[in-house]
Amino acid sequence: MTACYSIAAQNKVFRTNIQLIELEELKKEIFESEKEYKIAFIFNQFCPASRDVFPDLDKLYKNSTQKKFELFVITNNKEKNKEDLEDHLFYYGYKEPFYILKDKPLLGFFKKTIQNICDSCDYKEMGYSDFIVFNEKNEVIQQTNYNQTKEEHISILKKYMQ
Amino acid sequence: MKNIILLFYLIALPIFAQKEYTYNFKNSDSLDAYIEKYELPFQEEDIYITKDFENSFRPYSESKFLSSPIIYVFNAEGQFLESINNITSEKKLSNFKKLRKRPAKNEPSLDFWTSKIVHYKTGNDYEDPKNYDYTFVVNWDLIESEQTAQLVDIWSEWYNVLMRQKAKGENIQIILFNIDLQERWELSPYMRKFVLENVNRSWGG
Repeated sequence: MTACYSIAAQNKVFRTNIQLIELEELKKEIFESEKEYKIAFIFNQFCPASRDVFPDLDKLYKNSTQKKFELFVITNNKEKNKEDLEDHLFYYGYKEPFYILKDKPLLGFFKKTIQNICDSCDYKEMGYSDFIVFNEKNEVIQQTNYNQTKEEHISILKKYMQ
Repeated sequence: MKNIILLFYLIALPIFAQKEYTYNFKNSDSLDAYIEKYELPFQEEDIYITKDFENSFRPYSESKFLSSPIIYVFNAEGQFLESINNITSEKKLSNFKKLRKRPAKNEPSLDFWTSKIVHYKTGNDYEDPKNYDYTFVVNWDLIESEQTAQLVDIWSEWYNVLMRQKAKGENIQIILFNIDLQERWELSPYMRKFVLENVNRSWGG
């Protein structure tokens, strides 16, 4: 019987992937990505729904083989709280690309962020842990809302994060 | 004998109060099987158990340190800094700047632990000549209950983040301290029965 599992992965130096960016630049990055699917996930480090869904999203991200998607995790962390986010990602071993908005508004983060990247999306229906999926032509093919369960979110993500 | 009975009633609570299952003695195979079953990311070299009943388990159980899940943190001088639980672990284990700097007063030093533990397979005493900036003693046990999945997640998170810290270059030592009753103590049949009856009567399901 083998007691212990491979330590190879654990011995690699772990690096978080946090980028400071302005909203317009982020929009450009999403729309210029040539991936089949572009997923913009709205994240809040201190929101239970975000924290609840992320371990499953992380598994999908790490286990994806085809990488037909590009993931953009947009956080509502302030620039000055970057270290808090880094600690959070380090603790859980999250390697996904996280984006902190340099021009994050004091109020209306959701409205401004979502309307900027998706004018057809209803930001009032969305919460932290919701996401938008764009296709190659930058058309919205999926927008989740806060009435959906975690299981529904994961099931949708599974379709695109392969 | 009354003392021993009293001992169990008084001190076994922190270890067993949360659980509802039948306790039994464990050995290295039990530990391996549990690690494999729940896919704990533990490395064999870091796993330790109590050396014996009278001089190891008993002093622990008379202290407040025989509980799980919890981490005890020591500085480079082996002085106790603080304990970490699942509420404080994200903050403390991801960023050592947030660990308490001043040693806690009137608490046992790291020697209290290392003098009473042996490697779970070899039975060798704990010996490590290196000086570490921090030593983390992670208490764990082979619980089988409704809480198991949650506890396994906590232990895995703790060990993984500490391993990431090591890989990053932090000079730390991790001791995975299994606090179960151990076959290795080789208690007499009478004592085994006595210990199990008391533990299970008091804290079992």
